[in-house]
Amino acid sequence: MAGLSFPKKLLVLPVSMAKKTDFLWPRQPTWCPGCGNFLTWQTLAQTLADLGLEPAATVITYDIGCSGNMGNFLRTSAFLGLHGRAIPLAVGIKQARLDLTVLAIGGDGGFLAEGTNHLLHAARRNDDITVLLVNNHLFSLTTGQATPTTPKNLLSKTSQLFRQAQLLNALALALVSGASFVARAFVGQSNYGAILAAAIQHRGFSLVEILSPCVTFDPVYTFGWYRQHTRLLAKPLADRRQALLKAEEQTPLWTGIFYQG
Amino acid sequence: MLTIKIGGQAGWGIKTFGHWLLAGGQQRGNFGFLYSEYPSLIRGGHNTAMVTLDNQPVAASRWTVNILVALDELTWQKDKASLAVNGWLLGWEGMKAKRAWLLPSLWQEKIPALNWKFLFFGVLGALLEWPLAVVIKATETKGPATKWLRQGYRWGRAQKKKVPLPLGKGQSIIQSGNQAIARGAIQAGCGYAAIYPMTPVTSILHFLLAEQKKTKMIIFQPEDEIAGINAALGASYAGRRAMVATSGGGFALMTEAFGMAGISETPLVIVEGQRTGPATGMPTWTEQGDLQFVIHAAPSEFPRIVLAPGDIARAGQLTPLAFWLAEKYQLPVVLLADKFLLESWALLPRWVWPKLTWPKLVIEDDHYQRYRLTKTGISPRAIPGKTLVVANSYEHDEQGLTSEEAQDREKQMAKRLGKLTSWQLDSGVQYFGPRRAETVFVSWGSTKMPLLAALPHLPKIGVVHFEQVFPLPPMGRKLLAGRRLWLVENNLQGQFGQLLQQEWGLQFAQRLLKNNGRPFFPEEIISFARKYG
Repeated sequence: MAGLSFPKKLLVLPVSMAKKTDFLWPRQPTWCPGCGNFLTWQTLAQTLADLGLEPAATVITYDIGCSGNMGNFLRTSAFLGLHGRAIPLAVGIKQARLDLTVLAIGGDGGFLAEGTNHLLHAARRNDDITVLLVNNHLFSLTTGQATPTTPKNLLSKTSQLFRQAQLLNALALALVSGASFVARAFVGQSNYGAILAAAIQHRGFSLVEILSPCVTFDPVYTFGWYRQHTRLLAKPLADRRQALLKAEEQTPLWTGIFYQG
Repeated sequence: MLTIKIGGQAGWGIKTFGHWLLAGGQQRGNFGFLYSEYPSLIRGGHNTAMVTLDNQPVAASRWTVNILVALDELTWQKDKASLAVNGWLLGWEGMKAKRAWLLPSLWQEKIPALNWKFLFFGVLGALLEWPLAVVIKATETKGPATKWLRQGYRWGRAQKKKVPLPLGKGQSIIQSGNQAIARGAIQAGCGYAAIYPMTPVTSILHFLLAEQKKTKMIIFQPEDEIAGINAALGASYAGRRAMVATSGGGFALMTEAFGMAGISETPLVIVEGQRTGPATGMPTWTEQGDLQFVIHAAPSEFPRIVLAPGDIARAGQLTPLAFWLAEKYQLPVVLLADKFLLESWALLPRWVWPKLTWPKLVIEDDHYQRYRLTKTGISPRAIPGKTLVVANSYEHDEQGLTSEEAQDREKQMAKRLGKLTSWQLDSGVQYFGPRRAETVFVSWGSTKMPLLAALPHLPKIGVVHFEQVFPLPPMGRKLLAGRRLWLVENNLQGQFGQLLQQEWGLQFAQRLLKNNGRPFFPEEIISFARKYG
């Protein structure tokens, strides 16, 4: 947790008695053994309980993909939506009900391929939702095709089609679109929950890019790789421009809160 | 009855002129109908507005014009064909007409084109023998522009030929189809509208915004129609009565989420204002080309209701009903209208809103299941907050969690598709004309307007009008049985006829179809009936 600036509200005692287990459906997740999504699932359940939220008053919209399947394992009010459309679904819920805590969970396919525009527009409107973009670099539920984040050295089933293409950087897109909270976390890092908590507590649009290894179709970007190559920012950067520079750096790959406006 | 057509360039206030005529007629106790045509541009081109005024409600404007108001030569050239045999032109000196009031060409040179509407309206008001106060009030103009009104009025008064329109006793409201739907939505307690601008529904967005301070409705102009419908479904899930409004192209983008409304059983009202398609087509013109698309839109099978109001008043009355049906049966309801209905205006008698008893929500239930199986197929509905609610676009179990079990699939499909088995809209079909008419026109949606305008001229012919087009109302079958059927549709293939043939095996003696972007006019219907009758 060192260096992370916490919003003061977090220190207020929880109002709900809901425990971590209240946020879990009694179902065995269907992810591959060792999938990064297990950590997001467990960490998020713990975080929601720590924040004193009620499962019924916490609404999570889910995209389609491995991360979207979390809707069947994380026990909150939920709307399991369409591919690429979890963000506008969440936007409508929040617009309709300011009393609800609203999150949208999806992958690099849903938020950076199918529904990229929704990410930019929700950011520019500063819609009060938390977007968890679980980046595993691949369309994994369709057995491993390239997404706009698939690195050149990760040879997916369709990488040959994108040799000339640039990669999309979720944080950079959110920053230039006016997002008021931008963070990145590796599922295996010790303060993952703290970053999620800060994002959920932030009033306004928040994006967390979650680096989540695909253990089946990605032999390159493994837990080990991330442990070696990620480094935690000491504190959020002073402005968007500096945040943008850091967000685009690849070595090291920075995590933590980049910008909070 | 008097029909006046005005034409000129976009930006000159052609439609405004039409509105002034309605506003003047309203003060004089008349009823009326305004239909306008305009190309998809902001300045230049050729815009027209056709206004029919009468002392009884006017079902649709007539094609045959008694007075043609031509602000430019192009209007005179393009529209003189619609002038009645004894019709008059109101235009500029230099236009070659037999019967005409021609304003001095000096005025044409000296007065800016943007002020011509005042000048001509002043003249027309005097020719109709309206008091000057009525003319000024109709335009709601104060300040310098009244100078042009007065100048025109004086000139009109001096003319020998007048066309007095008698004072009526009507109490009317001025209303467009879009406005009627917006008011209907407010009446229904709609709390959320997501509308991406698109002709012909855009003004619904404007009307709702104008009322927002009073209604507190959340109005969202989304980045695209896909975001719009998804956000509206989110809002509906969260407990607000929600709607979207778009045209065929926008609805095409919405279809995936339309299916999600079906499988997730989330109430939603979709206003689909048809225009001339496909793709961009003729954006500012009318058509009934989307019926088969709407009743089949989205993959696989789920229940939906499609209502097609026949006129402005019914558009208003059916809107709260659409919201009620969406909520009662937890499904998407489409209000299928078109440019002709939505962007036409009328002086109408006030209508009564339907009285509705809204379904209740489950407030708090620790063991709530969103898709609980019930006898009717309708599960008790709850919203998130105090109750944990899981909605799902995947097939699901009763709780709402994803399931691919054959049993869950079969049960949930049967539940959803069974919801409408016992249902039909009482007013789903209407009959007009002599009860025992051997021949009836079969119509749906906006063709009702020109048909009812034509009907007084066709004493032996009836009209069976469907405003519930899907699922088909069984009463319609009874009304059609044993008669000679004439199909009327504003499309090329007779799509509703195809549906009736498929569902009820009906055959049509004749088909009156039109797909050039223009609505039917009563005259066309009368001559068709005389030809085949």
